[in-house]
Amino acid sequence: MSIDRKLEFIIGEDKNLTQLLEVSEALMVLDGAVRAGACGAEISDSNRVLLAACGGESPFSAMRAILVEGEPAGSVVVYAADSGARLEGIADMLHAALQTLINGAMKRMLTSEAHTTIVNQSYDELLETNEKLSGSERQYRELAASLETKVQERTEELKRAYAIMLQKEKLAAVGGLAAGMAHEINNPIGFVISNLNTLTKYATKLKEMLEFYHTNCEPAIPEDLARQAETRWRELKIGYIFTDLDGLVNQSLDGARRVQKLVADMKGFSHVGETGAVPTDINLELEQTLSVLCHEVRAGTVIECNLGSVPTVRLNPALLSQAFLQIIRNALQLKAPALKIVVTTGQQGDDARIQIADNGPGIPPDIRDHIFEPFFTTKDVGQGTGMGLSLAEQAVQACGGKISITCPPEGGTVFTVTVPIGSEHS
Amino acid sequence: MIEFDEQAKKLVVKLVYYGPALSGKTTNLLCLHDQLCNEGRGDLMVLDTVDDRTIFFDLLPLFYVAPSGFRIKLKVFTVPGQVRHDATRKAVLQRADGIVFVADSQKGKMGTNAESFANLENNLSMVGLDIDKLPLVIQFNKRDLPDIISEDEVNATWGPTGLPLVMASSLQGAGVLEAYRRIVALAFDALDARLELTARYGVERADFVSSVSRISG
Ligand SMILES: Nc1nc2c(ncn2[C@@H]2O[C@H](COP(=O)(O)OP(=O)(O)OP(=O)(O)O)[C@@H](O)[C@H]2O)c(=O)[nH]1
Ligand SMILES: [Mg+2]
Repeated sequence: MSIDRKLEFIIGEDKNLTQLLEVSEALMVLDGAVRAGACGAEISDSNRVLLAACGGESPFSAMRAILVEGEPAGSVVVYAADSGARLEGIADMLHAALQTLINGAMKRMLTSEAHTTIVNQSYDELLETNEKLSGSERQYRELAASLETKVQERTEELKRAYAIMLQKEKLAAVGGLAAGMAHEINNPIGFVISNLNTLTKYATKLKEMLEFYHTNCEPAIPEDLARQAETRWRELKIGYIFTDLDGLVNQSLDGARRVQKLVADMKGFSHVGETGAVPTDINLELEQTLSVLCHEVRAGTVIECNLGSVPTVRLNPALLSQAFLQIIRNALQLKAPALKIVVTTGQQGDDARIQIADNGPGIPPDIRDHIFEPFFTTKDVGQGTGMGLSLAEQAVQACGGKISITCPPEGGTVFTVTVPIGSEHS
Repeated sequence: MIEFDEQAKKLVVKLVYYGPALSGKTTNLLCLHDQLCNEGRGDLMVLDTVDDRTIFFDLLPLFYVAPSGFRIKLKVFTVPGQVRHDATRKAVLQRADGIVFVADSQKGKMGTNAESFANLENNLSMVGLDIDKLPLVIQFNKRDLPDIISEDEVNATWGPTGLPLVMASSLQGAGVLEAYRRIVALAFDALDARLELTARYGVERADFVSSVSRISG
């Protein structure tokens, strides 16, 4: 605070005689001495400068020192026609009168000094108090103004945290289910596959035997019987069965194997029983995610994988694959003719980089900033929860990584996820 | 230090008697005025009082000229002890070169003594003075009264501070000069350390202290 105050009093500052003695008052006292019988009287300061004089000089004089606070500050001289008791008496009286005047003036000055100093000081203190008060008032105003935004921010944070928690719970539930299902499905599917294999062998043998009869035995049996056999062969479409059987069994085997793989991927994707950071193969996570999502891939959609070499990264794989799931699912839902999604992985500096690009309509610049906000969606009601990308961002951040979007001029959207290779996040 | 004029070879020094209301600050000054030789001693200025209670301050000025011609004006102030005159206390405290803290020895006054001392510490920092560097003498006054705390108790409480302690009865004149002489000497030392009064201006400590505390008669 700068208060421009030129007047500064320091209590007790030294004063000289001219400050303390009004000439008009001094003259009155000197005049009194002359009237009492002196020829003249005069006052000078410590430098012998005349301050006041009355009457005239004469050969006989008496001098008294004037003291201010014990310090010689000047003198008073009385002139008389002759020396003696009268002269000394007048001098004493004049001196006493002057000292009384000076002391009175001194007291008055000290009092006003003290008064001024105190008033100024109190004024300064008031100003300071006022400054402080208006300062804190300003603070409260700002606080009130920012409170709303703060509340909003906190609410968003809470929403995110809640969503993440929900998602984690869901993940755990799905994981548990997947684990149980995987167990239940794996065994029968194992039988099915192994039995189908056996069945193929059996069928081959039966076919071979039937073929043998057909070619070698039929000519040796009575013609009537042979004709019956021929008719039955055709009626039962054995020839067709022979050609179809292999394909049929192979298709079944293929289907069963796919079920087996899906179950394994689902189990892997949900990372049941795994918590915290483990060395993770990012490419494997992506493959599993894509596998889990295969039923959501519409006909005509092309998914291209350019998986480069990426070192294993210590992180929570469940979170990362959750992020992949959300991003890829978001892309899969795009309404674009001949939708193409390109997944690219590789290493860039100290980061593992995963890019998921689509050839969709892109994201308008004005909503790009909102894309990761919880409950933000441009999709039709019921299509999306608006949580997907928010979850993806949270999950990537929880892995110590970053997520960003760019919309290249040639169209589409590219999601880029980077995670530091040295990262130790869970 | 109120003023230091190297050309005019003059120094104006300020001492302040501080303490709770009615501890005897004004009485200390009255006593000094009576005891000190009137040569070089100015008149005691007792500014307006209400019922004998100081509302501004009291001032006893003393004047000393060293053989070298260097002049020192010593101004001894009291502050009003009443709590409500805090602004005045602060104003008087400005530029002080030494403090005599006049405590009331009466039992039951220890609380107000402590409050006043805390107020001194606070006000010193407000006027930019460092209590750890400022010469300070503690005077326990009214030792003539019957119901007072013992000297042992005083020593036990104040001894650890390392501050000079003086037992006094300003009404009877005991311990008044002693406290005054000690603060004059301490203030001189502090000023000498800053201004080299002896080395540069030929002011001898012993001569100064004895001159401004010479008793009359
Ligand atoms: N018995 C006794 N009474 C004392 C002594 N010193 C002061 N008093 C009395 O205490 C009362 C207050 O004394 P002051 O000197 O006016 O006190 P003060 O510290 O100047 O008080 P404020 O100006 O209000 O701060 C007076 O009645 C004094 O006579 C002492 O040593 N002994
Ligand atoms: Mg007083």
